[in-house]
Amino acid sequence: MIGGTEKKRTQSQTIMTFSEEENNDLIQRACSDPDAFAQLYLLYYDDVFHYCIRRLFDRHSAEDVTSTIFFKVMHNLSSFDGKVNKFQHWLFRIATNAVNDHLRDAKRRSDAIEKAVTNTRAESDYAIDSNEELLERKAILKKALLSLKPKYQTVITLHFFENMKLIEIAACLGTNPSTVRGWLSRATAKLRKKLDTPMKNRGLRL
Amino acid sequence: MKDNQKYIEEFVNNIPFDAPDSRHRNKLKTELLNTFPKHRLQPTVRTVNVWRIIMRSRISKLAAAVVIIIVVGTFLYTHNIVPTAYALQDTIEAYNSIASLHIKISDIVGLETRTDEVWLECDSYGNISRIRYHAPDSGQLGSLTIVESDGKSEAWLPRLNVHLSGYRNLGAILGVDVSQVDPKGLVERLYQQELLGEVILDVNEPVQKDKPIVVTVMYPKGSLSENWKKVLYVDQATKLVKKIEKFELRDSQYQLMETRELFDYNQQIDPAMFSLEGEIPSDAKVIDIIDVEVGLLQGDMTDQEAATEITRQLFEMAIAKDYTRAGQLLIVGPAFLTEQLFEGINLIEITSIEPARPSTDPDEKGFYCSGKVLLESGGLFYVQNVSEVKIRQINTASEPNRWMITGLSGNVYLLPDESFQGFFGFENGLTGWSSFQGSVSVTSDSCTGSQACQIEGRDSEGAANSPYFRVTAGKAYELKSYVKLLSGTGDYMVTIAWLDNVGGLVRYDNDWAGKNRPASYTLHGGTFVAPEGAALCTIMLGVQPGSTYLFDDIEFVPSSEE
Repeated sequence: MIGGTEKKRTQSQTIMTFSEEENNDLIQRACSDPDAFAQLYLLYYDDVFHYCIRRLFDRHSAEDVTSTIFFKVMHNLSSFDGKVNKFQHWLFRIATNAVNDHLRDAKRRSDAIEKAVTNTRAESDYAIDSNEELLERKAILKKALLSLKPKYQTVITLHFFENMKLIEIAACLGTNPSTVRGWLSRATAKLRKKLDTPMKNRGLRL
Repeated sequence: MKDNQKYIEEFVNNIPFDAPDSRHRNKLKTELLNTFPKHRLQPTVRTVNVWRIIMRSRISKLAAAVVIIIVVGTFLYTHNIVPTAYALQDTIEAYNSIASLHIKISDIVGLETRTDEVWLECDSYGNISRIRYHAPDSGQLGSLTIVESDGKSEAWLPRLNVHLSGYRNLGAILGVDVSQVDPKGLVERLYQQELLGEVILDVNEPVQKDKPIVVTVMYPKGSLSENWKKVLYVDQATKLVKKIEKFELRDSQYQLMETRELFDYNQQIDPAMFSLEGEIPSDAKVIDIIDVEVGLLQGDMTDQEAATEITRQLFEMAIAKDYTRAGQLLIVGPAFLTEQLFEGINLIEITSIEPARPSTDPDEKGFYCSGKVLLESGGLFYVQNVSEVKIRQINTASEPNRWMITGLSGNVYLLPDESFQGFFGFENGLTGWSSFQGSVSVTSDSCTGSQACQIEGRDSEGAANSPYFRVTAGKAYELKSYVKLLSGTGDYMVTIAWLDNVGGLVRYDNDWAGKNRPASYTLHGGTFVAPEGAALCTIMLGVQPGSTYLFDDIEFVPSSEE
């Protein structure tokens, strides 16, 4: 069971096969029709889960937060305005807030870092194609990423894993692209610094 | 940045992550769908059940209907509400048809209320297209008028006889965020924030149609703005906002900090209001600073680092007397204007700068920074305690990620050198004295020289504070003043207030000890020892209500008897 960046791209393409009009029609029906809601849910479940696992590095937390996100979506779908937002941006904004809520508590955050690092080995069962060095790199990435501010974690994940452009990230976060550019610039610099040291200490190279 | 991006792209490439588990996907789908019909249909099912009971017989139908009317009527009467039907979307929708409006913004600043006025004109989508902002009192700048039209903005500062043009987003630079003035934008933000759980809304919709819908906005516990709340008063008929009040929790009580009154919806505004043409005298100094560098570029700094850094740079530029650069950091003012703001003060060195802290005000996305600088004025050295440097991020299309200082406030401590002897003959007026209460003035009825200080206590005490002196705990000091009663029967004081190194009160000495009511100038004072914890002191002159006293030739010196 592997879900790297390639898999994500494939799923994004599946969603793209829906025209905006069809998507809006589905969203409108999903407000009152359970079948339509189920269809919408299945369409976006993987995207949401991928985003959560890349933010939280822990399957159980990612599944919990994914559940929270879809319940929020179900309760608030009727207030979604397709004229103002794209559904995917609206969904990722809810997802970002849910993930950040999960990480907000400092204790929970430090637990998450610890859990993420100690879980590296256990997760290797899922990652059948990965080699030792990739798992080592993943452990370093987890620790580094989770130590950043939530907003920096968010832009890193949306940009490098969800392959979103600045303008799309800005739409998801309800801010402007220039702000996102600044956050991304600072986030990448900080992340690089945090990644470099342990890589050198462990004698690893990209 | 590109190098870092490439590095991270390569780093994350092929890193394995868990894939979605179909068991969780299916389980969650079942849970959602189980909740879905209940969530959507429950109210309808209940209504049907009640109606079926009522319909069993004509008598029970009538009786039940009467009971329902009485119960519902009593509930509505006692609670003064109808079931809430209002939603924020109604207001957002209503603003789409607004072409113009007038707003009065009243800020509580200390004990005073300052009212600014705004006139807005909107396009066919209800978005602001033209604006006029008038602030009758902008501190040292005096009165300020900003107009923004067709993407250009200009400002008029009559006190300085300066006309500023060529600014990009002038409002933001001068600390007036137009986006925060727009009521449609405000309600849209609230709507989004509610959706995301960032605010808690309480809507009270009264039965009486002439009373406004009251929307109370609270911020969740643990959030930055948890001590703030806003109340929106929405017209029931038009769904437009009539008034917004903003409160901050201080000493366990909500205190009103700002009131906005919105009126004259869709009343035509004279197009001349959105231009400064005809208002500016021909001799006004026109400054076009289109090419001026605005503020500090954030670069790789965090928001907090950038806010602290710009404060440090402002002080450094002021020390170097580089008022051009200082002006770019502080409201993008030209050099001469910045120099006026510093009022000829000679900054010597930065004593300390604290890390910037974010503003808790829900409408301010800025920081506050505090610090101390050493300065010289008139041959004396002072510590300027800058308690609030207000810093904001300025994001315009042409100037992204830049930070700007939009305000400064603080107080000054006099810092004598070892040989300094505090002497106040008031020959140069009340220079250095502050915190006046009652009526404080200079008079020619002096002990020596030509002037003395006159303090009149009216309904309450009259008082004045000297500049601050640096003292050493345990060391003795002499304080003397000549005092004369002019009228009344109350007592007076020539007091020392001992303070710690941040200006907190340690103790008063010689408080209200003047009971002799001298008809002519008489010496009052003695020797005092600075208590433990004292690092500063101030001389306080005071008179009781209904009395007027004169003070002259005040002397504060280290005691020679040590």
